[in-house]
Amino acid sequence: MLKVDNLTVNYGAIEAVKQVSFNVNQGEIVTLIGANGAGKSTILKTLSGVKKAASGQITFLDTDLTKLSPSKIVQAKIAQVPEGRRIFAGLTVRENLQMGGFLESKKDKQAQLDYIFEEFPILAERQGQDAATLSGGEQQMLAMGRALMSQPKLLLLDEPSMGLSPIFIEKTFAIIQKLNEQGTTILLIEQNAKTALKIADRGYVLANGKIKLEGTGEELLNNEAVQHTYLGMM
Amino acid sequence: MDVFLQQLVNGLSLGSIYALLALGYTMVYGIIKLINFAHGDIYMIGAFWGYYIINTYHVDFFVALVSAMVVTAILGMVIEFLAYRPLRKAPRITALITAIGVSYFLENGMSLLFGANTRDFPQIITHKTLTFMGIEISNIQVLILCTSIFLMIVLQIIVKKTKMGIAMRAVAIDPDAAELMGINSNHVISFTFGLGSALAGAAGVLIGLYYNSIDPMMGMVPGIKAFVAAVVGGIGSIPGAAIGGFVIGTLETLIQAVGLSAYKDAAVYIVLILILIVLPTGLLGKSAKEKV
Repeated sequence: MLKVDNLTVNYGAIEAVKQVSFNVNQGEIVTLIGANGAGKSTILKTLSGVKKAASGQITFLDTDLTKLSPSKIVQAKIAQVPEGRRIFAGLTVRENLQMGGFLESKKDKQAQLDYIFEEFPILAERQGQDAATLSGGEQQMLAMGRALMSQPKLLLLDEPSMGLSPIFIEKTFAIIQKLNEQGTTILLIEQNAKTALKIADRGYVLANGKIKLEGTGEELLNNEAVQHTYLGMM
Repeated sequence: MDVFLQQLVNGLSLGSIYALLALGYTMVYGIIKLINFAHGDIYMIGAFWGYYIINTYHVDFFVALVSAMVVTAILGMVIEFLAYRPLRKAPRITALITAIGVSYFLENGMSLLFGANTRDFPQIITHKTLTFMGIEISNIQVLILCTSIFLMIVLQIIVKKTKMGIAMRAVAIDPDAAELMGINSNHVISFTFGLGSALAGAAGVLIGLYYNSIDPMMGMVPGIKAFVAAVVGGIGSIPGAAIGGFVIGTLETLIQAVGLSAYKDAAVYIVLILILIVLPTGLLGKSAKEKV
């Protein structure tokens, strides 16, 4: 479904991502794990068109995304939940969701809004409230709901567990699994490697901008090097 | 007391013009953090367009107002496209200096094309004075006040209720996140310039009717005062700009009423200095808060 080929991304003179290749198949949950600065977020930013690739190719359902603008990529049905959630503080919960469906028709937007209010009752309850007044966990729900407004086929999640309490982390991952069961393909980026690998079909381990390891979620969970470096087990 | 009320009425009509101008400043600042110093000159172009279309086609007030708004909206979008868009990633000071350049270009361009002399704005509305509880109000003052308030209400509806209006606020809050929603920030910024410039164009026609004279440099001082109004209200805040406009207009006429006409401009700048010292975020401005 998504195929990344020899992707290199630079920040000025620094190569943040070096010749990375990976793929995501329809219906999968794939995770990229790795330490801070490994290049995970840079890859996601390039996938959503906010950063441009220096070389390499990104293909999604036979469309070449490499040179497309962010809005064209949203139209291709890829949505991103950015790192730190980035909800629009000052806009109401409902307005935040409407912005998520900016490119959708009025009818699709309404249908999707109904669906999201059903999935996240807390958002329905607070729809008229300033999004800044939500708790961190509720903001995460909103950020996910907002991304779902564009009816994505592929959902990119950047560190959804960051800054959340353990209860909300669990909730968030349960929602990710549920969305996946309903047919959304997921690419998940996490520092919380253990939780991510548990729900992932496959995973890639990233270090210094390169892919070091790949395997199924279970393989990586049981891999000694991964355990040692990323799961804090000796 | 009567004098005070009389000056208050005068202040409100002048203030509503500053408010219309201040709205454009504040919206543009809110979205691209640029003080658009050419904004006062767009108001001048609005006044000249009104002058031209009334004298040439003998249209009524309504047609003059609406056509001036359309013309200035297009002008604002063209200026944004040609002068500011190429500088989007440049340091802020570069765009600011460019704005001053655009301002000089419009002022001197108009002087070159049409002459720098002052012209009489055609009086399409017969001046009538109404006396109400000892206060004299001209029909033009009522027209200015009503038109301004009507336009502010329309603006409020656009910003609060329409898709483009919500997108404007979203881009102002977090342009990167807005981009991830598929919002093309260039379109939204262009829309914002159009909206702000249309209000400036309307203000230009209204001031023509009120003061009866226009010239290519007329935008300079009101432009700066409207900027002060936007800062007083809290730059970036739309209701703040409206309130700031009324405050500055009223202050200016009250200073004149107590016989300090020569200091009316100075008073406005003193208010700016005081506000920046005491309340740097303005009356309704927000200091940035973040939730982790």
